[in-house]
Amino acid sequence: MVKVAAFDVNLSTGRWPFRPYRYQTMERMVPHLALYGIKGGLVRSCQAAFSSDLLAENEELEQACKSFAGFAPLPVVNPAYGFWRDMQSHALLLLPSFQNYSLLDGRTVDMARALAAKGHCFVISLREEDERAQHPLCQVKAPTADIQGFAEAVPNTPVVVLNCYAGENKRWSAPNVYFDIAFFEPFDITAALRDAPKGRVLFGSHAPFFTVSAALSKLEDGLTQEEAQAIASDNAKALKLSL
Amino acid sequence: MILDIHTHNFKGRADEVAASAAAHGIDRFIFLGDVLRYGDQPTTEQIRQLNNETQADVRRHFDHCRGFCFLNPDNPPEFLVEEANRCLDMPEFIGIKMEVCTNCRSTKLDPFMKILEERNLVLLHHCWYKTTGKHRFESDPSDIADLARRFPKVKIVMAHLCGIGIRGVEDVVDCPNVCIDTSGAQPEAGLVEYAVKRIGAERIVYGSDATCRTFGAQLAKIREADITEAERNLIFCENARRLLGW
Repeated sequence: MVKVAAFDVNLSTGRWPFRPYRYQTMERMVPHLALYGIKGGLVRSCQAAFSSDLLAENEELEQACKSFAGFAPLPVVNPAYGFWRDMQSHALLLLPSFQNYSLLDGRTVDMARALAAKGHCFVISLREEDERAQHPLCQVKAPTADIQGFAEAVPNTPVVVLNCYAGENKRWSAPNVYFDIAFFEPFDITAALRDAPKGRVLFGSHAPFFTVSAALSKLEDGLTQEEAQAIASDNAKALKLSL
Repeated sequence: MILDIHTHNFKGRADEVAASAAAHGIDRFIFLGDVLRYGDQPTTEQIRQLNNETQADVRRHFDHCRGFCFLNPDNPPEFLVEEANRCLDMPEFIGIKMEVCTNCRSTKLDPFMKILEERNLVLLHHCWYKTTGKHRFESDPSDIADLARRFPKVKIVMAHLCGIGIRGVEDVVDCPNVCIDTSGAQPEAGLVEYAVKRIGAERIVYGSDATCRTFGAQLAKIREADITEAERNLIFCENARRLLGW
C-alpha cells in the first residue's frame, strides 16, 4: 500500500447552515486530519457561501487558521465586493453559484484578469453537497459549464475546481484547470486518475463534510507511490498552494 | 470478515467486481443485478433475462457471492410469484431486490412480500430522499416505513444511508424490521454515527453500491466512523450474516 504525505486543497471550517459536522472547528479537524497523515491544506469558510459580510468571514477564517501551521486560509472574493483589490493571499476562492453571479460576467472576468495579473490563482467550489441532498428551498446549480470559459479568460493562471464528479472534468480542456478528488469516485478510480491530464489532479477530502480516508483510499487503489504522491501533494506544491 | 450486501453485476462487470472485492478484503458480497438496464419498467422477459444473468454471475463466484432476484411489481402478479419462486428455489438467490419500478406503498408488492415472509428472506429496497432527480415511482424512507408496517415480519434492508440522510433514519426508528445499508452517495461524515445512535448498530449493514462507487471510499465510511469496534464488526458482517443466514 502506498503511503503519502497529503496536502488537502479542499477543507472547510465553521458552521454549515444545513447541519453540524463533528470536525467543523480547526481545533477538532486538524488533529483528526493528522491521524491520516494530512498536515496541511487550504481552508475555506463554511459560512462564506451564504454570508453578506464576506470581509468578516475572511477575517474570522484567518483567525481560525492562524494557530495551525500548514493550514492556509482561503479567503473568498466576489466581483461585487471591492475589497478583492486589496487581497494578499496567493489563492482566492470564488463561489459564483452560492453568491449568485456568473463566472463569465464581464465584471467577474475583469476582476479575474486584474488578480491574475498580480499573480493570484483561483479556487472554485462547484458544490458543497450532492445536489440531490440540498435543502429544497436552497438549490444551488454548479457552474460546470462556465469553467472552461473562465479558464480561457485567465489562460496563464491556475484555476482549481473543487468537488467535481467523474466525467465532469472532461468538459474542461483548458490546460490551466485543475481538479480535486473528493467527489470523484468512478469504480475504476486508478484508471480514471491515470487518464486525467498529468499534474492536474489534486488531493482534496472535503472534510469536515466527508470522511477523510475516503479520499485517501483513492490513492491506495493501484497507483504507484510516485503517482500517488503527485496527487497527494506534489501537484499542489507546483501551484504554490502549500505553505 | 466483511460482507457487502449491495453490489451490482452490471453487464459484463461481475468479474471486475469480484476481483476488486477480493483486493479490498471483502469476503462475501451480494449481486443485486443490472437493475436499470431496461429503464424503470422492465418486461417479464427482461426481468427473467436479468435474473438468469445474475444466476450465472453468482455461480462463477459461488464461494463468495449470492444474488438477489430482481422484480418489477408492475409485471402481472402471477409472473411475480412464478419468478420469485423460480429464483428463490435456486441456491444462487437469497433475497429480492426492488429498485424504482413501483413505489413501495403499492399493494402490487404484496404477492412477493408474502413469499418473503413465508421463506423468512430479505427484501433489499432502493431508497433516497431527493431534492432533484427523483425517479417517477422512486421510494423514500417514509414509503419504506409504510411497507415495513404492512409487513412487520419481513426483513427489509433500506438502501443508501447517505442518500436517505438523517431524516431517513428518523423515518424508520420505530420499524424494527428495517435495517439500513450504508451503500452509495458521497462519503458524508457523521451519518453512520447518527444511525448507530438512533437505531443501533444491530440495524445497520455495510454495502458499497459497486460499481457505482468504489469499495475503498465506501469502506472508509465505516472504518472512520466514531463507533466501537464491536459496532463496526456488526455493521461489516455480523448483522448481514444474521439477516441472510449466510
